[in-house]
Amino acid sequence: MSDSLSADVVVIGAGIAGSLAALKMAKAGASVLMLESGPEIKRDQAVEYFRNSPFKGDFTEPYPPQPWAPQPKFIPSDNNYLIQKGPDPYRAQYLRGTGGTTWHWAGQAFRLLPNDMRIQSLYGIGRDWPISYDELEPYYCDAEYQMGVSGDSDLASPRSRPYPLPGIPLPYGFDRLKQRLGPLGYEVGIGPQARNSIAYDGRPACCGNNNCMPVCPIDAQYHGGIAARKALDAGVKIVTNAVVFRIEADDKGTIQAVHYLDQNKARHRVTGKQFVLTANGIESPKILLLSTSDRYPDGIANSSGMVGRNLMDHPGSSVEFYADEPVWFGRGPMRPGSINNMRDGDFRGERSALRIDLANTSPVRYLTERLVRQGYYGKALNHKLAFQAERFVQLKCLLEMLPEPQNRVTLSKTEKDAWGIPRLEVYYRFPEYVHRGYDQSMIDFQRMVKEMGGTEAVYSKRGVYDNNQHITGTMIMGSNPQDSVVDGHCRSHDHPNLFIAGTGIMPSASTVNSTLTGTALALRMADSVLASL
Amino acid sequence: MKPVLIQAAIAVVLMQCAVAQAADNAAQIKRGEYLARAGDCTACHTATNGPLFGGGFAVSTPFGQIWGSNISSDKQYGIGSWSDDQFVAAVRDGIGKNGEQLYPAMPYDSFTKMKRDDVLAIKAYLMSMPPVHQASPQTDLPFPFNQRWGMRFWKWFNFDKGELQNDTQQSAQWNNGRYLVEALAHCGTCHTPRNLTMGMDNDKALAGGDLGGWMAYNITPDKQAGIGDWSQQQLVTYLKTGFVANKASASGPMAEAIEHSLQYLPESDLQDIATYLRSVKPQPDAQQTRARDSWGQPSTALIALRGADEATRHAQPGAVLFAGNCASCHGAEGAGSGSGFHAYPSLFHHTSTGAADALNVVSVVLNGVHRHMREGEVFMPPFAPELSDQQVADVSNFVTQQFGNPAAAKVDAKQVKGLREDAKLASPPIYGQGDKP
Repeated sequence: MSDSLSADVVVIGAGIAGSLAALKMAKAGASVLMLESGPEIKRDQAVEYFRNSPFKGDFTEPYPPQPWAPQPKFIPSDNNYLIQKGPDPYRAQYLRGTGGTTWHWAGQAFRLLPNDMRIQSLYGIGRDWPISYDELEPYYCDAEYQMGVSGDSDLASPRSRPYPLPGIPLPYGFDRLKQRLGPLGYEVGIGPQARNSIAYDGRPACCGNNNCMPVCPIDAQYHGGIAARKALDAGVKIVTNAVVFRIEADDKGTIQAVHYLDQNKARHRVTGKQFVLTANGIESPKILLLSTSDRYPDGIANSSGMVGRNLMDHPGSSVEFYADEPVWFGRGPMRPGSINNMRDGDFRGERSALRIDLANTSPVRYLTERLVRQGYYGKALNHKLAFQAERFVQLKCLLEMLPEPQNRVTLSKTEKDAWGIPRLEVYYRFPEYVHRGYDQSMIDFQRMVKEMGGTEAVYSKRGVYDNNQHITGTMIMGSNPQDSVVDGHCRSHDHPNLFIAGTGIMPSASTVNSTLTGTALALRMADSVLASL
Repeated sequence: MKPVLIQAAIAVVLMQCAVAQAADNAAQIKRGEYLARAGDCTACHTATNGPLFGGGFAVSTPFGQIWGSNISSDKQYGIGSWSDDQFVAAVRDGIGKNGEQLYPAMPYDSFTKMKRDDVLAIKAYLMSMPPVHQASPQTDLPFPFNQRWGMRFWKWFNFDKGELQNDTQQSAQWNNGRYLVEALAHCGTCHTPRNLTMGMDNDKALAGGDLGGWMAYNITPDKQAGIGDWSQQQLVTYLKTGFVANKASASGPMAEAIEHSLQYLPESDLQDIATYLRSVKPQPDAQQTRARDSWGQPSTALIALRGADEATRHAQPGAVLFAGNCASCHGAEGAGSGSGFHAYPSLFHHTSTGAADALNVVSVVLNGVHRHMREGEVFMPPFAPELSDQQVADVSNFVTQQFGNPAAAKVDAKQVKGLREDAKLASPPIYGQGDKP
């Protein structure tokens, strides 16, 4: 056991949130040490892993895990890293390594609506945030300028600074849907994306590889690896392959150290003044739950019992069909635009709000595999594929989950990973609120399909929803220490020198991708950490 | 009445004079702006992202850094208090305001050929622009190069003073082209090889120069070594845009010349430059056995990587690096993609990969490409922060071997290390490891 590592601030988790917070704190003069359980992820290697993999649809293939930092994996079959215990599955897919899961996101960098942070007051459901949109807004800007977010409309989230980059023009097919669905009241618009529309910050403009997930091969799309590199260059000490398994607090509540296992299972103890936990919405609560002692029998930061609870994501419904005209989906980035005017309203008291993405993932592989399975070959395959590929449309609806304490991750009492760390069990159940949102999405989908002259429409089933990897709620933010884990400054209620950020602290999931909000929270947290030094 | 009339008449005449003079002045300033563009004054006299003509750009020379001076209209730090003669002496003779010898990083060996009126027009333009009240860094070369009087000897060997005289046997276009190439745009500063004392070797005018990190290629009409297989219009397009499909794309200092200067010149000037370049004495080069843009073909090397085991992949590091870093834009076959302004160049049939020396290939990999054009930015990211010296050597050798002149595929890590250090470029990150934090 070595005890030599120490810094003003010790950050656990070198993903986008931790890295950008570390960068900011290092620039302000703090000594910062960041511990990352996984390896350094290199883009060129990831690209080659992807190209060599037969499972192009498995977003983890470019990022093979190390034995000490296992990841959930579902293709070709579930590796059962997350042990499902509930009536509904929670198939979260995340990466462990420098940069984290934003290596395989689609760069969608939405802000919340101001109302998303007040759903209890306004609609009598879910929870209010202890901070207002206005308090978070400057940090949204900072995060957007770090990432290089392109966009045009504010999409009803007020902004104090313009987007750093002009919006990426909609592909042809999106324009067609915009023209035809607009009169029905569905507003198709350019989405804010952490993707360069022009060269920005030493990275090139998107060249339309349509490969955002699982890896942008040219770094036109921002990811946490870029943030980690910047943090390193700014003087942050980053230690990879360091699996934190315990946070140590004294009897007064002050965090004294964190402990990690290295590649050889040797233990190390790291001390510091302030501690930051940004190790994703599932692995972070795991570390807290693992850190039990006589003084803290339920783990660190868990006097409320809320650590691991209120697990949320965006349950997804979908429809696919063939339009009555060629739309050529699959040109440009994978998620360049969506329908954004169904995200708020009094209906939220009764059912989930909706946001509908037009999925621009090239359908050629998907359609080809299906046609081959159906027995097509030769000219018939070509003919059929040509027709389908030019007309295929897929719409994906994100539904709002509510924070319910019963939905949770807990430590398994029996199952451990290769390094002897208990694995996680997940209990998850979709509330009626989500099912009613699904029902509305089907009404809207049917209108859209009809308008587009859609044929062979396939609607996703009620109660069977995609996981969208937007892990939220597990270390929930609130003003009441009895029912929340961190306060409005991202400081844990129980420990004055422990801060938690990222998407896991969000008290509401809303209907937009959570990364930008998790990152803005991390940048706001950095100010609080710096003020505490 | 009469005296009043006379007075009024005089006033009218004086006013007309004043108006005429103002018009003259405006015309002079406008011509000065054009000339300053053509001479690319800003390249050395404006710092990166600094105020225009405020100085502070470091010109790297084999002897150390020479700082471009403040040539704004500022009276204290710029040329605001210079007389016409002082300004002309600096530009054409390499003699500073106080009689000191200027380093020939200022290309007065080309500018000496400029017409005095043109030099004064540049001065008028500079004086019409806002002053920049800041000192530019002082050049501080090591001994013996800090002895400015030594420049007298340099000049004695290397400096042919005198305005260019029109050649009446040639067309006006040819003469304008020559004036642009030899005087204003000072093409020879980079494209003419240097002799032992670093003067331009005018016996080999425009036969190509070694700039340290970059090679300025032979631009004489030699069919193999130079631009002999370029059409007039291809040359004009290249000077205007920095890109001619299946021929060349500009990077490094040439991209800067196009960015700051050439893209703004009128088409007629570019035509004249092309006319003149195609008329100069061809300078052969035994190293260049074929035209540089005639080498190479699409490669199928990457297909062999698919499904290959680790040992096979390990045996061809250049191909693996190319696949991971280059192929997404330049294509698996190296054929580039797209067309027009946003095209990614083909790597075969390209003057840089077809050169007998891979210097520019290595420097493009390390530095990337930055060409700020009026239509937007042509950009390739630098790979210095991503790839090790050995990796840069491997991928450069793969590129020249597969797509260009195989004779150039002999780059080693040591050469890359030197280029990386000289250009003060970043290196790949080094993260701590759990067991060795």
